[in-house]
Amino acid sequence: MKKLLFSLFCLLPLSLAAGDKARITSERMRVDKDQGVMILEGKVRGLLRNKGTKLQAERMELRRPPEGGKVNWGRAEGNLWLSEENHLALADYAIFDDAIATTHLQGRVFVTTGELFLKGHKLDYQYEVDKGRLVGKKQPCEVIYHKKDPDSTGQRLPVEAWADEVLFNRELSKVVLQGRVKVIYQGDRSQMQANRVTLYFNEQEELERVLAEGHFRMTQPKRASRAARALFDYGPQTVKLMGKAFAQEVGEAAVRGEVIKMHMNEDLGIIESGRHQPVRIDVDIK
Amino acid sequence: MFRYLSIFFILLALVFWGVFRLMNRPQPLGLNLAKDLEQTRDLEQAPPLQLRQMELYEFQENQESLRIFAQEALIYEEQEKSFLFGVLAKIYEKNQANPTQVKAQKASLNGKTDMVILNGKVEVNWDQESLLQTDILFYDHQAERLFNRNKVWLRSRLDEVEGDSLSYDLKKGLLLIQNPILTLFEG
Repeated sequence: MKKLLFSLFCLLPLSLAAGDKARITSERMRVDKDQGVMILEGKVRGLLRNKGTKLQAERMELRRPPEGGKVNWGRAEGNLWLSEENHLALADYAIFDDAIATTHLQGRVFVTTGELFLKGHKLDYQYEVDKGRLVGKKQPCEVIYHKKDPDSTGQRLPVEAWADEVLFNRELSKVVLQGRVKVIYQGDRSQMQANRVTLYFNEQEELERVLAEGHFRMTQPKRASRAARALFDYGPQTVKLMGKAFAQEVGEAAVRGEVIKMHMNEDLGIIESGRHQPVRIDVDIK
Repeated sequence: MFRYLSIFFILLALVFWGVFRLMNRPQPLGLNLAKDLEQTRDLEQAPPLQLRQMELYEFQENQESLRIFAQEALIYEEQEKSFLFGVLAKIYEKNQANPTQVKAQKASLNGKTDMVILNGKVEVNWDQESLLQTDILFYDHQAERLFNRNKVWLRSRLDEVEGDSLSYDLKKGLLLIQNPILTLFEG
């Protein structure tokens, strides 16, 4: 996840590393020496030599401090397109501001790597603390992650998620979806809803755990479940429902309790219903 | 850099006006410089004032502010035109450790149109920090504008620009370069 996020948010042709160069061409360039402003217009094309990052835009504005020094503010706009290897970012415009150590993309924001896809309206990344935030405008943000299917070797199936807001923390390798979260996984045709969902990734950048909080509800073809919170553990392939938990499988009794643990695979049923806690089982007598 | 270039051209224009008034005895050197010049019919009719190893100095507050050196100089007083060859000018500023240096193989000055043309390996070096190189550079004193239609190359400590042409408004401090290739360096 660190590599994924690092690549995504370091598509910054203006943040030059030591010894790096940026080469930018355009149809014309205007310089206001007194203001320390350079404006490039018309088919702006940029390349960061060391990273191989490419940029396309219609207009780019660069600023330096009045006393001289590195570029500390930049704006690229007009069908903005950033790419690096298999990573791609699109937006209406982007702003880089070294004073607040932030990169901002806005307007039809679309970011993708090989496995992760993000779509929203505004994306802010604070590169000194490695944290980012994506929000939608009239529609929620969309996140698609291609997860390894545990039942088939090598195949990746999409996990699609929608939320009002998506938060990224590169250091902790986690992504948080907040506000009317909805998740659909094609692997088991499950749908999940909650107020907040946190995705935890391991060192190999694979999804390790998912924590859903606040009015959790999940439907699978043969199972429905709900709870205050739910923890998905992709190692043992289990789901732990916590707080007024409820689970019912087709043709089976409904189970209620404070804690319910079940297999992710609905065919493998419920494992346990909490220790030392009363459990209620509703059985239909026909 | 361009502020000092503009000062240079203004002073250059003033210096040559001074030369027209001071020198009243032609001193032919027997040098055939006509082949190097773009001469009009008027120039051919009037013999020019010819100077060799010319050096001009300007002082402000008892300190040298400008020095112009030319290996050869032809001055047509009546036509208000001058031609310099092998030009090197140095402009000294108080807040600069090193002078602004202007070099060109040739320089021509037209007093009627207030135009100065530098051509042939033109270089402007400001305080040894910024460098402009081009083949030809025009200065329009009335419009206070530097411009050309030739390849230009500008380099400073932090960046480098190549372009197809240049236009610089000295009054507004605005530079315009066509088809630029900008290279930003780290640091």
